[in-house]
Amino acid sequence: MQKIGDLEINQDLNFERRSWKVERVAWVIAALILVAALLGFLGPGPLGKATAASPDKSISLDYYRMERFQAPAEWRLQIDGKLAKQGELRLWVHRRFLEVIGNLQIAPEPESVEIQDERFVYAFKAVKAPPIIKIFFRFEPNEIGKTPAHVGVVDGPAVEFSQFYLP
Amino acid sequence: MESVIRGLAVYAFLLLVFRLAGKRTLSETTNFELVLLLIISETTQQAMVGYDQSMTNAFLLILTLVGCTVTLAWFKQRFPVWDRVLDDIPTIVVENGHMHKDRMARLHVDEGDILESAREFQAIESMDQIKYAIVERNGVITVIPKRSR
Repeated sequence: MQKIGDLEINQDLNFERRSWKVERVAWVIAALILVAALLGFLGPGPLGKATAASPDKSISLDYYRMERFQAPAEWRLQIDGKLAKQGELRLWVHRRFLEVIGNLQIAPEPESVEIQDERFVYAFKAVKAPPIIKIFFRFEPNEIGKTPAHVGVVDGPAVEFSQFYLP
Repeated sequence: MESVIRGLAVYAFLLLVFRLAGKRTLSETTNFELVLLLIISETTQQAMVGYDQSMTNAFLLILTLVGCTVTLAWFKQRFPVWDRVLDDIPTIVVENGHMHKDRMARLHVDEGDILESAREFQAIESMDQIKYAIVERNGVITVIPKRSR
């Protein structure tokens, strides 16, 4: 044990100075992380917003590039009303996405769900379809990492994009 | 497996944040700091437990956290340098009534904090009665009076 005056103490000023430097650097990094979070790089936020659209723009889907594990997430779909055929809009979602999420709620609620190969087809009644049909998918990611998503209208256009689910 | 990983991640994150926050952070529990500690514990609990409120999950998390503490204690004893890195070291901020202002500034300690500890624990009235004031590893200020020896 080191002795300073009458005091037996384990003081090491060089170690302290190095610690203080590390602390300062760490708090700059922490501040940058908080700014990144506020901007939307670590979850929903203004710069994290994205829109995926089909080539003819008849389907567009608003989402956040980064979502968080088991936290509420949402897709906002806007579909051209002309894509509703015979009073029905048939929307499909690729199976891969449905495998990695839980607590899926679709608003408005679909009339029926069918399984077609690798797709789940949701049928919505649309007798007098408005020019733009809005459909909301609310869910909670159950996996961590990049997840591809593929959504489209049966026999019509589709959008493909990916989201990253943070731990 | 997820419970253990969650427990390890939270333990490591808290260890890192509180170490980097400096030894004086949350060392004196004012009313506000008590509320802050409660909020931190509640936030931590939600991130660790998630939706799984089973007893198995609770037991696994407790074992993980206690296991981490025991392992770190062994590690620090075996490798003393890690004891300093993880738990910091004490710093003398007053010697024979002379204040080391540079150290005090870095440790976020002012004259008032030292005199408060001096009054509270040693019934000391002024700085020139202090032989040593030390900011201990846990952030508490220890005061040794001149008249004590």
